[in-house]
Amino acid sequence: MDENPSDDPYVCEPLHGSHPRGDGTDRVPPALEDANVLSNEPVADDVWLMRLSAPRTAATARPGQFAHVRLSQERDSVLRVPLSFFAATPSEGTISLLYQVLGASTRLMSQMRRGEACDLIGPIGRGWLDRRAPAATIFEPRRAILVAGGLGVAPLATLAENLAATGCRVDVVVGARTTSRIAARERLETVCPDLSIATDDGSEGYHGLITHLVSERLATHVPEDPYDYCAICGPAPMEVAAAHLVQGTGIYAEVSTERLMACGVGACLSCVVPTTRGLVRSCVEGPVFSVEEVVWDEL
Amino acid sequence: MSSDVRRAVPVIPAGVELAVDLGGLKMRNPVTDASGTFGCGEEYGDFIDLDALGALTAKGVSPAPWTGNAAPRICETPSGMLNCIGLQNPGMEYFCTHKLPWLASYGVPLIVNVVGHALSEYTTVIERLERETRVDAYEVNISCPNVDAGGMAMGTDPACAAAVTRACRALTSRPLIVKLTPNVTNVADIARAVEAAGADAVSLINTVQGMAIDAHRRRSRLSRPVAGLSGPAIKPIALRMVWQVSKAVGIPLLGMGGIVTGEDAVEFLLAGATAVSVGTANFMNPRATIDVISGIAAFCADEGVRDVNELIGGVQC
Repeated sequence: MDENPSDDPYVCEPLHGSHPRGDGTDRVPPALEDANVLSNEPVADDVWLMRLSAPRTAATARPGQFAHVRLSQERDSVLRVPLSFFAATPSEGTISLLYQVLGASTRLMSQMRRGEACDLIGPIGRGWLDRRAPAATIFEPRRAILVAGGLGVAPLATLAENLAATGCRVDVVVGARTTSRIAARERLETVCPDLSIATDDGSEGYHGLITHLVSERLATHVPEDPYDYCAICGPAPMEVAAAHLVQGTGIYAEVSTERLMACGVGACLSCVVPTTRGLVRSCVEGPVFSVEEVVWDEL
Repeated sequence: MSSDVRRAVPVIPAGVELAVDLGGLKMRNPVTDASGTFGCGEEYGDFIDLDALGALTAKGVSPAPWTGNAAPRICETPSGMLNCIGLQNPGMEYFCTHKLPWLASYGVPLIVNVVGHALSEYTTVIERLERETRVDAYEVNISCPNVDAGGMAMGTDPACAAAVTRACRALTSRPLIVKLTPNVTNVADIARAVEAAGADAVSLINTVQGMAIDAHRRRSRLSRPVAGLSGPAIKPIALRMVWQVSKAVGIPLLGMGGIVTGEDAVEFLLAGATAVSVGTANFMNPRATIDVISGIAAFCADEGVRDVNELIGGVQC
């Protein structure tokens, strides 16, 4: 078979799962795994944190990848919920998922108690910096700016820690509706004591849009110590605005896209994202894309 | 707690015969996937043994690539979901040069779903696929409700449905299955027309037209206001139509619409289907097809049914 994904303008081959009998890359193919709830509680307003026992997924998850969670075995709920890994601890066999109670599925999720079972497909997709992963071209950012709008902090927290562990200096810009909605503050402050915060209601930090702070940061960074990496995750309008700010600056920038998704494995074509290669599947080609490959006008 | 990375295979009790003949297509059991929910099987090959299926049904193939519709393309509804994917597919040449070689490593019978905007597009695809030995049967989609210029009109008019069937029939001796839309006044009329035009089997139902509105934003939840409803919500409609069509035609039926369990599948067999497709349930459970096969087999064992063919059309009304 042809291993080159670029000759198919509409349906790109996933990096895993498309190979005969499932072999072929350094990435672990997703699997169906039974999981048990270890804890489930609100951490910031209506933002909740669920910790699950899921040893296989925990051992193989990368920052920016996600799990596709089936909350109920009842047939009145047909769609799984895709959630980024907020944390994965291989030694304990656990993963953590950060979610906001918004609709019926997340309300159901918030009612799950310790010991309850669910199942998940994971780990799915390409995470942060996966595109530069081939050994010959490993890219190690030296100075990074992470842009987290609302729940966008979920896939960025582990990335921030991993970058800091390699000696990268990490600036984090956080946006939230109000100060009580800012999740994972402690984890981010460990890496970046000087968090830049914007709130919609002015209850903390800058009163206004997060993109104002991003624009300030980009304007003040100095040529001798420039940002070389930017990671963006948040509501779509914020991602579009942040992507426009960073495009053309020479900074390698990535964005994690959130799409409505059915299968989560690359089959149904629900979650497509417009890219320079055509409409590609967010679940297996993303959810992390480089800012340059997304066609923002069509998003 | 298990971390199970095996490719699931069905559990079939000894002495239960599951093989069926769908209009000349020999299936080792009555279960296939519903076109469009399963790609060409690659993605699900991580979760199940594809060779355990009665047949593999590939996603719709058109002559040239189709880009499909804008996002959002899906939304969840009570016990179901709406989609307006728009038959996005990379076209017949890509299918033949990339998908078929991959499928060559499997022995499962292959049904290729064929889509088109016009009669000539269906025949173009079938002519091309006739050169490929890996293809075992065709499912002609005259019923997709999503493409403005395409299937809807053909599938809702008996003469038009017959014309497509006749044109495809003339090109192939492989089993020809025609997939019917439920969005008609009398589905039996359409079924009779395609039977008379040479179809070996009919499959039904495609998605039921529906709509979802976000009240707060006062907008459609999907990029197209009219989309296709699938999942358990449509099972009663599907069962009714399979039963009606089974009374109207002599050719075998491939039944589908909201099947999640083996018992759901048995209900379709009792209504008159010879085989069944599992669609939306794959999204709930990537092993749904295998669970349905095991469920049918367990039902047969429990009920003393030696051969699954004994169930077909067995409902008492």
